[in-house]
Amino acid sequence: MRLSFRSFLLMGSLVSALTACSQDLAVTNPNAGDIGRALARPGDIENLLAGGFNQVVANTTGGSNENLNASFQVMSLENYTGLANWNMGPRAGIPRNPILNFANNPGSAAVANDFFGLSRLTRSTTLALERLASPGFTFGTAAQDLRARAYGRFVLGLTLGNLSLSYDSAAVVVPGADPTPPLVAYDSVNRVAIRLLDSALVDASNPIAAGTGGFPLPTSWLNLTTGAVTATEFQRIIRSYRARLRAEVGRTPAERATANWPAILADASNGITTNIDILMNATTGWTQTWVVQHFVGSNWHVMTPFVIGMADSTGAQYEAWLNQQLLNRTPFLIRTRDRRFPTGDTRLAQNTSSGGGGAGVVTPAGMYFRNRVAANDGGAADGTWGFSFYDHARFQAYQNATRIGAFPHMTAAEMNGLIAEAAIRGGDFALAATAIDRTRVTNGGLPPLVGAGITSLTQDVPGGTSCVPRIPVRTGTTFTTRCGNILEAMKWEKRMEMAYINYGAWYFDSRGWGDLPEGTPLNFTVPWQEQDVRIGKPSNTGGVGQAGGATRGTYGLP
Amino acid sequence: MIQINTKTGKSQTLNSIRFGFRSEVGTGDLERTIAIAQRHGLAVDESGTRLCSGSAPAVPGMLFGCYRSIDYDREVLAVNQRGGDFALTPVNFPIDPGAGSQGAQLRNNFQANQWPNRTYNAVGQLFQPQPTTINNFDVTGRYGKTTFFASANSLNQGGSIRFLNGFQRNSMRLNVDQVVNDKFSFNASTFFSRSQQDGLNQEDGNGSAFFRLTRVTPLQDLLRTDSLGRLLIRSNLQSAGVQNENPLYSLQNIDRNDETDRFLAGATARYAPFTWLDLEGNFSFDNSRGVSRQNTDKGFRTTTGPSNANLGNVFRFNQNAQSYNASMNATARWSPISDLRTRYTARYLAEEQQFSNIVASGSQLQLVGVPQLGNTLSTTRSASSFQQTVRAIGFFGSIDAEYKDRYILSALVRRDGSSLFGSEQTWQTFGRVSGAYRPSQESWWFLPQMNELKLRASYGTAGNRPNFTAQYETFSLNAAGIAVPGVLGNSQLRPEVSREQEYGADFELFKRLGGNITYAKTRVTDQILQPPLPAASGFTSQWQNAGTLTNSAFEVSLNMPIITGKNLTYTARLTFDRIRSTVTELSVPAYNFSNGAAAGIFRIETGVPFGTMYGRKFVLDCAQMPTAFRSQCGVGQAFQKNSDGFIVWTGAGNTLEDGVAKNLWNATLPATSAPFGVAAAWGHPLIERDTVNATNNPGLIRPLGTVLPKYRWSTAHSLSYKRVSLNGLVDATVGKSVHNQGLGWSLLDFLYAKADQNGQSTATARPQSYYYRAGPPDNANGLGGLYDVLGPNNFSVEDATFARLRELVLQYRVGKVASVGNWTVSLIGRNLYTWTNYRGYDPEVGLQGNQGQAGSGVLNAVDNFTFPNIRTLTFSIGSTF
Repeated sequence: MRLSFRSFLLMGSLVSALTACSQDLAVTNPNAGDIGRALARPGDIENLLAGGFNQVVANTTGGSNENLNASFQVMSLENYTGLANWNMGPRAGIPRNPILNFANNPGSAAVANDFFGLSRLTRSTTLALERLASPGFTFGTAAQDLRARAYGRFVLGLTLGNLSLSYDSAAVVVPGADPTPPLVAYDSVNRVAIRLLDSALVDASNPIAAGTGGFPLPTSWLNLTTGAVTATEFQRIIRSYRARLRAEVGRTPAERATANWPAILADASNGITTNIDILMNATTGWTQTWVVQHFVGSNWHVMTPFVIGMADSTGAQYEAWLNQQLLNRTPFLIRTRDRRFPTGDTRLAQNTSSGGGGAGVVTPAGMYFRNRVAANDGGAADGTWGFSFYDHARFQAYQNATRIGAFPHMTAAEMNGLIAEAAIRGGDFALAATAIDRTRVTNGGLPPLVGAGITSLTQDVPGGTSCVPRIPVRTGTTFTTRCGNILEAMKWEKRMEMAYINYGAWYFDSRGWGDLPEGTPLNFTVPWQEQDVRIGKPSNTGGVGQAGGATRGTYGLP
Repeated sequence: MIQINTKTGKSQTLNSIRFGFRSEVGTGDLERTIAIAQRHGLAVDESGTRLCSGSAPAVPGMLFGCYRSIDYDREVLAVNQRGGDFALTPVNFPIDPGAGSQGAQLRNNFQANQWPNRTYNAVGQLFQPQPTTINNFDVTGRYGKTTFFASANSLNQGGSIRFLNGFQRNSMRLNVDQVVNDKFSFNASTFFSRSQQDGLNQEDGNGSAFFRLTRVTPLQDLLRTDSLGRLLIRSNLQSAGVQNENPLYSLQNIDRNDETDRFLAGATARYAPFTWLDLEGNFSFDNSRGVSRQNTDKGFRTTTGPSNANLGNVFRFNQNAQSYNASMNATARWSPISDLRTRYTARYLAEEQQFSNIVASGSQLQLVGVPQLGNTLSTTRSASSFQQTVRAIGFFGSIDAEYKDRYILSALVRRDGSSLFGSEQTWQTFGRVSGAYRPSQESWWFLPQMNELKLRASYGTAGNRPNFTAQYETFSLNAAGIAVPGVLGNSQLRPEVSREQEYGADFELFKRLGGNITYAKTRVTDQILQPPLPAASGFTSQWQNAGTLTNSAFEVSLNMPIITGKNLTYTARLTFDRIRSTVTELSVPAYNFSNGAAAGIFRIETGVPFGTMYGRKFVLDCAQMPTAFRSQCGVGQAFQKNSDGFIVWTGAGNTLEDGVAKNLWNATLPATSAPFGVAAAWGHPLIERDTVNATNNPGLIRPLGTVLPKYRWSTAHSLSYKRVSLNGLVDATVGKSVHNQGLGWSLLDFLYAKADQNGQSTATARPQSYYYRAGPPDNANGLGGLYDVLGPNNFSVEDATFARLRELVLQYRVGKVASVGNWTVSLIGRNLYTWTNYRGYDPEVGLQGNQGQAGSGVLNAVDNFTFPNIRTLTFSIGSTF
């Protein structure tokens, strides 16, 4: 067939156009990396590992207030609010409510947040550790490899450890694990976490890790205000966490008693000796999110007198308060010799000693609580057990600095508390007294326990009629108060020094000490979203007289 | 794909030119408003003119001692006037909306007090109808082998919100057709528009001005200013006023502008080398550029403070979208035998879409009046960008055949390649076959009254493309620069394939009455879903071909020219459709997903109609009670149905009217004696709970309604008499549900209309605790009120059936004026009236934007303060010359 010129032109145009338009249909997504790009080079894997601690913080105390910490605070009487945001109101109520864990309930997101955030972190950390362990892989030097492995195991231990504290069960994702490991009980998860911290400690202690490319950990990995973390400092941090996770996993006093207290004592004694502070800045991804809401107003945060009332040196007002009906309780003036509280015999005087007591005002150095000016009371909350004149204002300056700056992540006081508790359980009251006095005397200005001749739990702390803490004693439906013993002094110091700092600051200890109000859930259950995926059955937990709820405890709180 | 259908000058008389213009002017307002309580439950002093301030009574039920009181108006002015960049803290109120109010207090309080000062209509203050003008000028011409059409259009919709300028658009169009010879022709068309809009930040959802508007108490004067001329930022003294600033303040003081330019161009060349063959090539281009700015200057006032918000912020958003497509068609016609006509079409199509944006923001301005990112605090600045490219290629071949105008067959096969499909599934094949038969054309046809009957059937497959990111594994970078796993990629992701069978008939009776009936059944396999993954996988979810969706649709339309006189004509049209959509197969475990406002409200599960909303139910029927309590439920029993339809505990021997007379509102049935093991407050609604399969008293999660309507209908009418014509359209949606989250907020704010007890007797009045809020175990301090923390339940998910007078146009054709033109004048009303029992502003509501798997605002059907449709009335005049 002979083509005319026009036909030839037409065919040619068609072929040209078809060829031109047969473009490549493979399109990349430049907006987010895939696993190939995220882990393309050894440095990327190190970077993935290095972000682990940031993610632990983000999924416990940072990141979002839609998390468990806001619940832990109200469940342990560390905070009070009636607001339903993040289900704090339902968790705060007395009598205690169960944790409802079904599709669509308003608290779903908060219950799920930590579980999913931490569980996903176990997978990405495991992924990096597996790549690190693959034949021939190296970051460059043996020291660098060892440093990374130590850090990765530390992060994994911390992650699983936090899951074991918060939830009844979790999947253990470690190198070599199945894609979807089964859910196992919290005590098993905790044991794996401890083993990972053991391994991290071994790696961090290995002399090879001090070689070229090895320790110290780069500043950004933990983002501490003190900068890069030496191997020795890291070992102390690991041991501090190991002590915490061992002590806090117990759901009841009986379980807490079975913890390996000699090991806790050894770790806490060789743990951090000064606070480790993170350099916070939301723009760079490091936050202590709760602080934002904490200082919004008394609708969001107020100290219920249940615990801080123990500072009331006279005892009379606290006792009277305890004996009123729950919804009849009016706030009272706490007059105490504990320097962490404002001084004065009137509310106005305490406002003044708080630095004025107004919103945004920083309290004098060493004063953790302020007596709020009456105008900021928020009104309608008055007349309930949740309300008091006092706010926790220790971190007001941090808030005023738009949350940019140092914020404690773990305190030496926590280690002192663990040392003291282990010593008390071991009968070494002198050691316990020394550990407690480190803050009791220095920060609280309270009479020292050392030299007070305390040799048993039946002895009161010194202070006489103005002793701190003053403990509720329930007989039938009536409360009296008495001076606490050395164990209560230890609890008081931990509560004062750890408040609003770490994950479940008061909650994890309080459940193991048996101090939670009756019916308070002892942990959260695996979120319904995860149970749906696993075709499991979501369960609710807690509530007065119901499964998973605390029994009436030490203070006889309702 | 770009498809430009536009006016041409082909119909114009040869060698002539015609001018036309049309101007329209009018205004708009809000057709429906919501009822809010006009009485309050705050404590007032003995004069009734001052509100009591201070703390709540210490003992529940104890009368409040009004030792201090305030004049609301003076206090409002004081806290606003004396503050600098923020209002001062006002006094406390003993009974105050919000979490601080305890059930024990509210069960003794009735919302029946008259506001002590003048009250205002906030909706009326915020809405300020402004003119809408539309001007259109066009010219059409035909000279020789060239025809053209050009137009210019200007639209200015001033909107109806005070302080906003609404929407403006100017556009131009030029289309040219050129015939070269009897075989070759081409045309080109261009369009350019520039539009701008303000106030986009104030629509849709929590935090917007419209959200705040619905939370304004009658006591607030939104237009009030202080002596400095500033609108009062904290017009609401109550605790809710902290988050509910005066909505007009942000409208006045946040400068938001969104500007969009759009340019479309297309060119088509046609070549018909033979009478039986047409060749056509087309290239089209569509470019859209958007620039958004939002400036809040330093000195922006807040309800409390000091706050960084007082220091202002700057937001910038630029986006660019381009689409290109090129296609080539070859169409051949062949009649192999007499009465048989066939047509063969081959088509090639290539398209590419590119989209990119850049977002930047910063806050805490250093200098007043310098809305520039460099003027913000460097540590607050953030930037992000997004870019995507989508490519597709398609090959189509089709055959159409028609024999004796009565037997019609058509078949098409297409091979589609798309970058949106997973990398292992790039190419897919789809097709369609259809046939039609017109028995009315047969000689044996026995129904002369039915002059036309066409029976048709078709079967076809089509592929719905996944969204851009679906196939990709994503690790996102967080603020700390750390890679965090997101969505697990799926390189095997295929398009979901829709297989549709359609049967129908088109008919005409008496050569006048036309209509068609269609039934379609569609089975969508490989449904693209995004199920969650186990947490241990490290990823949140994965797009998967995981389900099968079965749809059935039934549609009827009728066209009835009832009167066809020379001077008088009347035509009515009626349409009806009904769609059912159910997930019939699911290869992953059932799961819930969110609509962006209520977590997990939808559930994907085999056998569940798509779009079903789930939530808790208040007990409406004795059958919902636990078995042991059913015998105690009914008239005269311990559990009775109240006038709202809820089953409540009254106690044996009591009536529903005994609450005040016997002081029963303070009675509580202990959990051990109550249904579901949860304490029941006298007269309060009960939540249905699972006492069999679960522990710890959870609420049962039940289907509450579906967002897909049972059916829809519309009717359009055209009546003309000589030069006057009247056209109207009414459409209706029946049986769809909406989650009215705004209703939940009104319960929180003590603004729910039925909480207003004015006119009630002691026998019928209900205390505030009946409405606010739920009790244990759902909430700590409530008693069982209807407020359910905004969660969906059978009170807040309600029937949103409506019928709407969508359009009414009255037109008069004037004809020539002074021997010039052909003038028409019209009066046009849109969204004029809605018939509905829905309690929100607008039953035609839904969250906008990307709302996850719900996909569209319509499917979301959540009333979360989206801006309602506006009623407009305009006058139009136009002519041609």
